[in-house]
Amino acid sequence: MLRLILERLVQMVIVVFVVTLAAFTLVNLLSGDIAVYLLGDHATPEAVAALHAQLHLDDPIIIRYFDWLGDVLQGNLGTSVVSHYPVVKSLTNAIPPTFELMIGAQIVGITLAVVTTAAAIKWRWTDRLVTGVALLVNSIPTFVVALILIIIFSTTLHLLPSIGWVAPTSAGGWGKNIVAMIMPSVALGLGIFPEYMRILRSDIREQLDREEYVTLAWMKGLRPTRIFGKHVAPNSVGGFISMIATTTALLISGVVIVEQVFAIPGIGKMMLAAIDSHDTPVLLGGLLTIVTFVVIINLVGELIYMRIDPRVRATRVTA
Amino acid sequence: MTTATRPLGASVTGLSDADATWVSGSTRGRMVATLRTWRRAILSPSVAFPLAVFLIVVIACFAGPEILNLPSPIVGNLNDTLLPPGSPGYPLGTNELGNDELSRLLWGGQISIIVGLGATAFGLIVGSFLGMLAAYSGRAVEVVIMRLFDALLAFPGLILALILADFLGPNVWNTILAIGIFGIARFGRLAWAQTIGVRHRDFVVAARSDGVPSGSIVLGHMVPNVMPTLLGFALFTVGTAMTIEAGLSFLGLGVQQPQPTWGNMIAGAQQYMSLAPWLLILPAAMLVITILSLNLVADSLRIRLDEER
Amino acid sequence: MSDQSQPIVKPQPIVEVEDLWVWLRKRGREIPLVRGLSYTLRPAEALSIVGESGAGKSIGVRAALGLLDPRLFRVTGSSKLVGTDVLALTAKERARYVPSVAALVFQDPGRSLNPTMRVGDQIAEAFLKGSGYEPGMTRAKAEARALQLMKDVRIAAAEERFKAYPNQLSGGMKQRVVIAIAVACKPQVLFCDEPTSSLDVTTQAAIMDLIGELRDQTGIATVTITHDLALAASRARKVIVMYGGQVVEALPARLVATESAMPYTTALIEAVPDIDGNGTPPTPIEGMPPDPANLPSGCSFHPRCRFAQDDCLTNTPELRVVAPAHELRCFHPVKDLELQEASR
Repeated sequence: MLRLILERLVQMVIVVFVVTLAAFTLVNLLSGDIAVYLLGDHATPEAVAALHAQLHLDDPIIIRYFDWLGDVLQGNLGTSVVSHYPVVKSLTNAIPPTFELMIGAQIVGITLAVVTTAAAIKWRWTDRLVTGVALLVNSIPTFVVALILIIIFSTTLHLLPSIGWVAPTSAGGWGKNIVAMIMPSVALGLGIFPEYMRILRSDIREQLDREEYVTLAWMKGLRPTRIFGKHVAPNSVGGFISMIATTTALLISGVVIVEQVFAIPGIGKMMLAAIDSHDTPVLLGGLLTIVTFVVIINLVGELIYMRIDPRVRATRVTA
Repeated sequence: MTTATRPLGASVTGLSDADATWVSGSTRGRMVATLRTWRRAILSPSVAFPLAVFLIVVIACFAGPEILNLPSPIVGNLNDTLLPPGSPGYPLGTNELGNDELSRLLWGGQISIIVGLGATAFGLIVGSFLGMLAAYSGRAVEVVIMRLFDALLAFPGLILALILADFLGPNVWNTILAIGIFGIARFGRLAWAQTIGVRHRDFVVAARSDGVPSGSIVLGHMVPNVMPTLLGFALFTVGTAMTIEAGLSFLGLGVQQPQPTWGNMIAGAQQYMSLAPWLLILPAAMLVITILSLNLVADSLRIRLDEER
Repeated sequence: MSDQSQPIVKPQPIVEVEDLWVWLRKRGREIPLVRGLSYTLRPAEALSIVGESGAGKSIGVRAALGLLDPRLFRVTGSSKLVGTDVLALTAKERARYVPSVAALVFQDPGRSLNPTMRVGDQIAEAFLKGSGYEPGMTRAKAEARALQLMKDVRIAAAEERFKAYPNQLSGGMKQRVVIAIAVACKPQVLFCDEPTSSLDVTTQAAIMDLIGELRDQTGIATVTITHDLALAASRARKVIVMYGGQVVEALPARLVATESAMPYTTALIEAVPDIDGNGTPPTPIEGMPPDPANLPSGCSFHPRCRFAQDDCLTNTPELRVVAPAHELRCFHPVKDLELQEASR
């Protein structure tokens, strides 16, 4: 178990290293001369040269990457070339809204998936209905969902605010904060629920149709609720949790869009602004945060899976 | 890998007699059987109906503006702004610049469809090439390529696409590239897994021991065995690529106004949401109908093919 | 049970399977997997059903227990377990009735236990919530009984293993747990679907011994499915040989080596190393079992039969009694053939 964790940690570090190196190279190659971009087309050559020296732009990319990496390891992500605000500060401000949004989306997604799966397993007609709805929802882009929600609940019914972030420290407190988060969470959660449901449903179906331990449970004379609760559901939990973890990576894309639509000052909006203004340090800091988060959450998912599922606990430890 | 040196005409489709001798009966038989089951599956109503819907959308978008003799989507009449659908001369109304909405809808669809298919094709070709190369070569090549896929998957997809689209400059080709890179790792992993599955099959081992060139083995034995699965997956990816394209356009980093795409039409319509809701509803509906029809085709096809098995 | 102890008045049968047919529904077609299976079983009797994979043995047993999904299979005929036709019951009644009279042991013990539940709990569950329930049952009692059962099926270090998860046990051990669960439900008949084919040879013998002991001690009847004719002949009283979804020969186990006359049965004997004791090397049966969707004309076995003649291709043989307790589905039985050859 410990060996596995260590192995995974090494893999994690490698992936983060490769991704940041690739991102660093990509961003620096693609963004052209950042000094010219920052100073404008009419800057004097001297001014450009001065900024080059200040930002070490004349060093080879690999050297600059390791400079950056060295700073990162000391907890310094640099300062924004646009606002001159420390990147770490921007990140610590942007993380809480994004984190809350993702938690909210997961709650919505998991609840919907469990409820619809239960319906899909119980009757044939609900199965048809629910899979149809899931396919439809899956075909609606997140920003369209978000706009539809705004049209219904904000502009028509005036039930919910269309601005998605109220700091819990502000006058309204947590109550206002949560009310504001409802629509963004639903918009994002709707995007993940079809995938959750599809996998959960097929896993349970598969068990009911094929697994002999379900037949054995039936042959024991157990009631259907007992068979489902003790012999089917527990065997789906581990896989479901690891799926939630892997889906978190996909959620990031939706976060960018939902934060934009609902004006939530999170990582997604920060990244979008940084891309727009070619703000390399912010971009790289954000990417590093996201990639590290994704890799860690995948590991956590895998570990929880192993904790819960005795099959994996015993057999895959050496894998 | 020697595929690059092979003349194009001698690829999978145009088998010469010499090629036919090393395409073993099993591979060829499988291909024919696969084609037959696919044809049967496509003709079943649950696949054929959404497929017809998608084809109608495609035909309407590409041939519609010419057949209906529609006005240009970008040269608007500023006297006719924000007309509702059903207005004389503008069956679906106009936008804030007086451009014909129907024309914009069809032109915008072209971009969505081109990007959806183009990005999928890009991911499919590059991904399956790399995946099969990894599986076929083994050793260091395999390790490097597979780690590359890992890193690509760890990269938040939309942000990567956003960076590429922004820094390369927003146009159709860069959008295809930016979204296509998304698919490389997914297609690549699938191709790798499928190729690993046939790598040790008898006909491949036999061909190898007979000294058949690697490129021939890959094209003649592996591609036909791996492709059906990849093409099935590609169907799902087209809808996803269209969703991302719309997202990019919506965020202002896809194809730029005034050239219409469904994504940037929705983005532009946001401010006129209460004044002219049709500007938002029409492109959104087209987008959803198209993606839904594609997803239905992919889903039904998968179910059909599962049943055939 | 030996022949001497056989009572003069035969007890009521526990299992009466009568003209059981099973069709698989596939793309609007119905493919026959079992075609008219019949057998009767009395208390403490042991029956073996033998055949290659795909002969319909397994499906036949599952159909007889009412386990097949009606959306995928169509089942006709009757299957009376202790006097009640389970195929005539509703799904709800069946779920209550079948476990109270019958139990099933599966081929792959690795798949027949719930991987997320401790094995002791899986046995105790049968006493607490299943058909092993008795009034006044408590968790403590159920666990004590489960532990005792684990000892009865000779699981070493039962106290420790009680708390183990299935993947921590060996295959043979898991199969003992499955048998313990079966016994806990107090069945009158135990169906075993290739109970030993995924185990190694020594474990095979031990598991078969265990099933035999259970039969002797509790008087339950057993139906064992196997592809191993030698095993069937040595462990059962009666052997049924199935081919292409049909019974092709049924005879007392002790006569298998000497009296079997269907060419398929004799081919199976030759395919087994040394069941006939004449030291000839095993000869595998040529060809493939028939595809149920595309059955051969006439006798299903004719394409692989060394003794096939013209009428085997055109006429379909019926199951006929050729000797006491010996039934045969063949126009040209091996034994008759030999006699003809000898008289020439």
